[in-house]
Amino acid sequence: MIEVHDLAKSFGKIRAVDGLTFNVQEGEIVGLLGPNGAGKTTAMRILTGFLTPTEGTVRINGLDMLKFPRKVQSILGYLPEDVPLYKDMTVESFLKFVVRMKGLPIRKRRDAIGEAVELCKLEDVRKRIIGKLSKGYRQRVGLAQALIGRPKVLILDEPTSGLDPRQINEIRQLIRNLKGKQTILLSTHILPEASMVSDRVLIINKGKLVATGTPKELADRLCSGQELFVTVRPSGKLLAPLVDKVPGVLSIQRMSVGDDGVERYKIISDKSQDVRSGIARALVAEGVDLVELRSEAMSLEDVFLKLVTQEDPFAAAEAESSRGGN
Amino acid sequence: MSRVFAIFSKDVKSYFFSITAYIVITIFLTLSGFFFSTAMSYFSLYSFQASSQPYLSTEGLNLTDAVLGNLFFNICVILLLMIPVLTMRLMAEEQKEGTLELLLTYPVNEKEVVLGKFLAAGFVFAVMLLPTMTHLFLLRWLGGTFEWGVVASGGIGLFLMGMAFISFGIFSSSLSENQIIGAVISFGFLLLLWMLAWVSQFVPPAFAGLAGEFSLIRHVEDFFKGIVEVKNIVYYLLFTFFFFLLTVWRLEARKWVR
Repeated sequence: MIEVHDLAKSFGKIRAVDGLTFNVQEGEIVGLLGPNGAGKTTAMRILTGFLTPTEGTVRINGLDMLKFPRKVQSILGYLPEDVPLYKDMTVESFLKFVVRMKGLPIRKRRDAIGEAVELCKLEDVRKRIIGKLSKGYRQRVGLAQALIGRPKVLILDEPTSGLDPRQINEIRQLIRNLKGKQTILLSTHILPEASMVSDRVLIINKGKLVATGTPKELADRLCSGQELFVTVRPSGKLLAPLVDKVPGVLSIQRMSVGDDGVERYKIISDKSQDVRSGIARALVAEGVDLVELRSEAMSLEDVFLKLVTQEDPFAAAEAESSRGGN
Repeated sequence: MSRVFAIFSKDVKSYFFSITAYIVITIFLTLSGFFFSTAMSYFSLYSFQASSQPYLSTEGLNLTDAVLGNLFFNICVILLLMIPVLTMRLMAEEQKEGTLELLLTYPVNEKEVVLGKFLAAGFVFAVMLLPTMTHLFLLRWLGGTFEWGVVASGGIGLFLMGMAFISFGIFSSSLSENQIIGAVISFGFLLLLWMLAWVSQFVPPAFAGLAGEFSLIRHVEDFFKGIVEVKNIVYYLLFTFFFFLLTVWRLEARKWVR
């Protein structure tokens, strides 16, 4: 549905987007994840025809954006960053303006507005002036203008930024409900959001794609081991020799001593093996008082930090293969 | 075309939703009313003097020339001040509020956007100009006579000149996201073009004609005398069209920024 090839955009000496290549399939929800200033917004502005790329091509629904901007834009719904809206209009008159701008046939306009109002839960504020609405409502008005008339492709730039947790949940739910009906590309710098809402995540940094995959795949592929946190009451015995015997354990490290005297250890294990029961049995057999045993898969957060803070050879290879493959 | 109309009605509503349109129209009408009554007072004073002193020339002492001709020029001056205020927000605000991004990612091209805004300002300008007709009815009611042809051609001249002002005003508004800058640039530039007519006496003869031809006021004078010349119409239309295109280019160029 969305095909981006070798996209680049320079502002002066800065390359905001630098050789970005990716595809989004029809009906897919893809999260564009990256730290602030990674080039997400610029990439989205190019995808929606607000900016022209310095290099590369964008095809949406098989049409080249540069050659047929109006045609492509007529199947796009776009929520820009920071949700710009006409503050002196009422919600209703704004949505009427939007359906006219999008060129919806006259007989479909009423229904399209009704549907968007219902989806975004705007009934209560239909007649209110946008400038006087709360941030949460404004965000929903922004979302309503994007998805009005059911465009084939939705491009949402940070759809949940600046909202409170309940509103964030509502918006995420709304986006999840659109799954399958529309192709969605959304950007975020919040990791749980990307993993919760999207089918696939594209991680970009400094304008380049550094990794792509489902949230689970990324976590699986990019962390070498599994972490295990063990808390025991001090028994005078050394834990290391006991635990080392368990197959699959790679290392053990004493972390801290708690207020109530408990000792915490971090154990790294081979991720293909579940060592939890083995460790528990070994400790209990030696009479060690086991207080807590907790395993933690390396979170997407760790993956993300790893990807954007250092030059990871794995990630570079990943980006390279995805560039050639797609 | 329906998109042009959508933008037109959005911007007209926004003029009347905010107090801009009301303020501009009120002040415009107050000033034009003031100039009208002053012209009338002078006219009656001179008429009185002329009647008591028969050797005074009465040439040009008629309502059409002395009152309406004067009023037309005065209205031009007020427009020079008011139109930059009317146009200053049209593009600047869209850029400042970020709504330009919304607008230009709808399936619309830059020409339609600028045309919609141009027509919106033109509409407010027409609404502003129309009530000045009451001056004419007042004159008729008082039993005055004047030439309707001159009034019609003067009105056409004013309208053409106003549209030229608007076209430049929108262009200068598109230059930055600051409304004040938009207003100052358009006022300054229009005033400069206006005054070209005055300097034409002081520049070398080779340039005198040229300076006159570029002057905004020089081309409207004939209209106020009741002369409708193609040359003058073409001047205003070209001026309007030129800055319309420049605004469109300016918006298109923004995309290619690097």
